[in-house]
Amino acid sequence: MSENPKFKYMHLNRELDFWESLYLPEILRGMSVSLGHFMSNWPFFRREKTVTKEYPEEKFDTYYRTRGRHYLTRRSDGSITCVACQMCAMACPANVITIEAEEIEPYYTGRQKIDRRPKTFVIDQLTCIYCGFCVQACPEDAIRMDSGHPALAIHSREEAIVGRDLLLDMKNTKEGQHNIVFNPIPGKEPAQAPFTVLPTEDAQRREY
Amino acid sequence: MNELAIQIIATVVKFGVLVLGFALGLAGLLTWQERKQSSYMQDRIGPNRAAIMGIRLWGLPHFLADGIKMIFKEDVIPDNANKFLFHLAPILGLSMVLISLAMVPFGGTFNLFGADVPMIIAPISEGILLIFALSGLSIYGGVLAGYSSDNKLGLLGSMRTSAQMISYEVTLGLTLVGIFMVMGSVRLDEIAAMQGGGAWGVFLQPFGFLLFFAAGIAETKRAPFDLPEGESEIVGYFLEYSGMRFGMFMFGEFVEIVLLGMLLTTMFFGSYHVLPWVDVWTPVHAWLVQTLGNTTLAGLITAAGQFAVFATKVAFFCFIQLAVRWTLPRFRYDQVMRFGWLFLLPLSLLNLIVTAVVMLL
Repeated sequence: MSENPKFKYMHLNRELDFWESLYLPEILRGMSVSLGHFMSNWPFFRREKTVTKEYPEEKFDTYYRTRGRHYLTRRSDGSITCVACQMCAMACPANVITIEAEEIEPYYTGRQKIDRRPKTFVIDQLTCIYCGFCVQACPEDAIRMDSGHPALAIHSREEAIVGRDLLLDMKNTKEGQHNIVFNPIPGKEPAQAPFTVLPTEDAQRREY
Repeated sequence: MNELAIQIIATVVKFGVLVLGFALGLAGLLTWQERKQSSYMQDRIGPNRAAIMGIRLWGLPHFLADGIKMIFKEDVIPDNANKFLFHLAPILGLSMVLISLAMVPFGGTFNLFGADVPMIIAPISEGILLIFALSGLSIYGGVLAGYSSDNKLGLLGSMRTSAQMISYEVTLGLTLVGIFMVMGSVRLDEIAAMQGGGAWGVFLQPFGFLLFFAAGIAETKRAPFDLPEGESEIVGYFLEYSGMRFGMFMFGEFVEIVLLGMLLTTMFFGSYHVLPWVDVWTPVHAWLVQTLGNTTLAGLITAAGQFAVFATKVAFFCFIQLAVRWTLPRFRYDQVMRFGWLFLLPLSLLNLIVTAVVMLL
């Protein structure tokens, strides 16, 4: 048995000393610990020590490299960035992207002529394996998966099959408002982001 | 009005206030309080989702939601259960505790409408003995529940119930004998009244208080003595019960907490009195009579004040019991028996002998 008082409570099979064998002081000691926690959480319901996030109202902090649900970006005039080139659908190992193209009145951005856009753009987000290959394959930066909305919170499987307009509006939905953090471990220096993450508003309207 | 009619009406009112209003209301609140308090003690949040018209009130509507859920749940009865005993057990478990509440005083005696009305539902001379008899009968609730439900684990739970309850009832009775010796009465209303100008029971019997508290927690069948229930191993004597029948067992447990709080308050913490050694209520009552010139009104106001003090103390002891339940780890079964027979019982006998010797000297 160690004589070091620091290790007093680490020996499971040691004999109780006199005060411990009376039970009562030890009971009071335990009560003071649990009631101490109670008193720091209960008065005025101030909850000083609780760490619970009440999810639908309170958003989780997500790490900046989280790959969340997909969304489609817009150009600065509000039109859809996607040109229906099928690159993402081809890159997809799980075959969850279905794109149907349609022709539009040709118009010119700074560097190119745009005459196509997706008529339908459907992603089955339950079959998706969230590998991010579609994001890498996209030549137009039209599809993204970022830490903005990681949660797939749905009531039925049909809701997970998301079409074009919903993908465009994803940033405005309730799930699309998580805080992006660069520092998953509190008290440590934040990690250096390898690239600049633009604010979400900006990211939608980024121009090429 | 003649005196008998007043007494009958007063009894009904007292029943409404103490049992329906206070004890059942507090027991219902305790179902919420237990979840909320335990979660705050463990740095959790606890229930906070139930809402009435969008008002959450820190999850307070949860106890209504729980009650409604209990009532509308399916009531399953096992095929091979003894139907009569199965139906009888929860009724025994709950009703015996509720009857015990009648013997608890919550105020002095006042002259209301020309009759001396004691603030106790049943002012009988054997009050505390009847409470013990009823608590002995309430053991049958647990025993019959496990026995009749055709389940091995339930039977195990009911065996544990009978063993534990009988063991700790001995200590419970013996510690109170010390109080009876010091106070010179077995009537709860007299014991309560005597603590008005004099010392509270806890100062006369500090050791008896601790023993009574420990044995009382064992009698409520809650952790650290939750072996009859044994939620984490056998589910206990009410294993086969569902719906409101289970709810009656659970509610009976919470009423037992309130009853233990009431007994502790009455016997050891001056019942409805504000301060030890100082009688506050007699001058207050006299002043009220003088000012208002109406004994009935003065009596009602004083009774309300006394009841408020009593209720506060009871609520405090309920809080302490919940804190004990969520702090201490549970005993093993042999430890429960050894603690009861080899630790509490000799100490309560010693307490009795020392009290007797001190009183003789």
